[in-house]
Amino acid sequence: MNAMMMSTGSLPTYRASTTPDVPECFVANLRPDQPVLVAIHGISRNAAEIAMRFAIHPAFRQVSIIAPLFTRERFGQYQQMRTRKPGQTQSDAALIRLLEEVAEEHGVPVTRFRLFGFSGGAQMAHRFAMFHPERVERLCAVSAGWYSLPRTDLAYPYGIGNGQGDPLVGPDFLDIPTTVIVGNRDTRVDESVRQDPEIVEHQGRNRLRRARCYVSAASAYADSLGRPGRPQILTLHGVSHDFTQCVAEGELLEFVAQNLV
Amino acid sequence: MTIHDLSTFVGSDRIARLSARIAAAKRAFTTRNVDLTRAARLARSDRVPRAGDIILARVTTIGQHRRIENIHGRRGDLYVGDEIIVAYGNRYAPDQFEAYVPEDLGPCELVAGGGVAARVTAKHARVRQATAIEVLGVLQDRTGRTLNLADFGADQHPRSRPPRVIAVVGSSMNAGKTTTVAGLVHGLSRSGFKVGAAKLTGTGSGGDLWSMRDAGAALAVDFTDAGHASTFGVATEELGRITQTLLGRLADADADIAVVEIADGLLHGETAQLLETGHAHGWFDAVLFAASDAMGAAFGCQWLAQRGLVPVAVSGLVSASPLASREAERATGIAVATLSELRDPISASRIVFSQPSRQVAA
Repeated sequence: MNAMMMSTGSLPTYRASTTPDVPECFVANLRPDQPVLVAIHGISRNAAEIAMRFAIHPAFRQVSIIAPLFTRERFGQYQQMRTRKPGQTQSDAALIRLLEEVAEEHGVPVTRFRLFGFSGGAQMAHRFAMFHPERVERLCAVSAGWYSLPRTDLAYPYGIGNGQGDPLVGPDFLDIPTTVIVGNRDTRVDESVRQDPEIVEHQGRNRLRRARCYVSAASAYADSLGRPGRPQILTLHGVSHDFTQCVAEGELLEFVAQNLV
Repeated sequence: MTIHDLSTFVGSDRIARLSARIAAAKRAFTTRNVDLTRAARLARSDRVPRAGDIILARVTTIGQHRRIENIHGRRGDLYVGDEIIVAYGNRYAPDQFEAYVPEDLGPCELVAGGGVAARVTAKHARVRQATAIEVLGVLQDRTGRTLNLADFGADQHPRSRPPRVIAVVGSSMNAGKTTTVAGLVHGLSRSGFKVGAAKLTGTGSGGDLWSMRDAGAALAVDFTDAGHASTFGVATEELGRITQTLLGRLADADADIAVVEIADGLLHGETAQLLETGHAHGWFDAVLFAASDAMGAAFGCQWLAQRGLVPVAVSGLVSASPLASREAERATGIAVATLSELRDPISASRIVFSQPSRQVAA
C-alpha cells in the first residue's frame, strides 16, 4: 500500500456563514503571498464545482480561490446585486464582508482581486466591477445571460443610467482589464435566457450576441470618454452554456488563466 | 485430482459440449468479469476449493434465494435442476447467513443472490434454509488451471485516485448505507461533479452498483471487479489492494469525487480494519456515517472519533425520523442529513467539502 497514492494537493473546503449577511463559500489554496481569485457561480449555484475546477488546475496553484455561495433566500437577485425581500442583503455588500472575514482569518490580500463569473455569476461580476472598480484587478465574465450595457441612456440594470441620463457609476471600470468569454454554440434561447424587450432590443436574443453587444457598447463608451481600456471577447469553440463542458471541452480555465493570472 | 469426463467425447468435442453447457447455465453477477471461453474442463473431487473459484453447480433445493442475479442485473427465477455458474466466497450477513468456502467440492449452498457458493454455519432465525446446490465441478482452462475471480480483477493503480474520496460506513447491515451513497452520488452529480462510486467490501451483488449508477455515478465498481466474490475473511493487505484498485478505476474514469461504501457495521472485522488502514494511509478525505437509530449514531460517531475519523455528517435510517435525528444530533453534535438533503446539489456539496469537527459531543 502506498501512502503517496493519496496525495491530492489543495482541494476546496466549505466555509459556513458567520452571520446571515455573509455568504457561505468554498475556499482553496488560501495563502497570504499570492493573488486572490473570486469565482462566482451561476443560477445552478455550483460554487463547489467552480472552486474545485480552479483549485485542481495547475495554472491556479499559486492563486487563492474564494467561491461564494449566494442563496436566493438570503441574497435575492444576486446577479443584479438587488434584494427582493426585507432582510436580504445585496450581494456586492455581502461579498465584500465575506472577503474581509477571509482576509482576517487567512491574511489573504483582498483589497484588489481577480474576479471571475459564469452565467449569472458573470452578470454579478461585471456589475460588481462597475460599482466597485477599485477592488477588481482583472475581470473575466463568462457566458452572462445579459449585461448592464455601459450606456447612460438606459436605466440600471439594463444600462448604467440613473433614469435621468446620468451615470450611476463612474468610468473607472473601463480601465479594468476585462475579458468576455462565451461559447460559440451558446445561442439557444430557453426559459433561462431573459427576453425583456429592453434587453432584446439593445443586446439581441442569445448569449453569444449579447456578449458581442456588451463589448461593442463598452468600447464605444470608452471612446466617448477618451479612455484607453477595451474589453476583449473570446469565443470558445464547440461549447454551449455549460460550465463543466466549457472546462472539459472548451479549455475555459486555460483562457481564464491567460487573462486573470 | 481427476478430470471429470462429461461424455464419451474427447478433445475439442468435449470442450464444445462444455461450452454449450456453460452457455445454457444461469450465470451469476459475481462471474461477470470472467472470460468463460477459457473454460475447457470441469474438474471435481480431491481438490480443496478456494475463494473465487468458478464452479458449475446444480440447484437441488430452493430455499432463501429463489432467484439469481445474472450478469446484466436481472434476477431470474431458480428451479430445481437449474445449472448455475457461481463463485465460491465467504458470507457475513447478520440478517441472513454466516457461511464459509468449504474444504471440498461436496454439496453446499447459494448464500447470496449475486452468485456466491459456500457452506452455511449459522443463519438468522427469520430466514429460510439456504438454497442447496450440488457442485458439478470447478471450471478449468486447457492447462488445468482453475478459473478464479482473482485472475479477472483489475490491476492495481498505486498512485491514482479521484481528488476527493468520501467513505460511507454504517452502524450495521441495512442501516441505510447504500441509500446514503446513492443520495450523495445524485446530489453531487447534479452539482456538476463527475462522481464515481465503489463498494469496497461486502458480498457480490449488483443491486448496490445499479443503485449507484441509477443515482448518476459515471462509473460504479465493487470488489468483484478486483477479483473477489466476497470480502469476508480477506486479509487487511488485500483489502487495501482492493481499495487502491477500485479508486484507481474511478480515477481512470476521471471522477472528480468518489463515494465509497464499506459494508456491514463498524464492529465487523473487515470494516474496522479497512477504516483504520484507510485512515492511516489517508485514503478517505471524509467519512459519512449511516446509522439505523440514534443510539447507533452515538456509538458509531464515538467509535470513529476515537480513531480520528469524526464524520462530516450522520445519515441513514435515523434521518427518516425527525425525533431520532434530534436525539442523534444532541448526542453527537454532528448534523443529521436527510435523504433529500443528500440529493440536493448544494447541501451535498456543503457536506462533502466540510471539515469534520475535532471531536464528537460527549
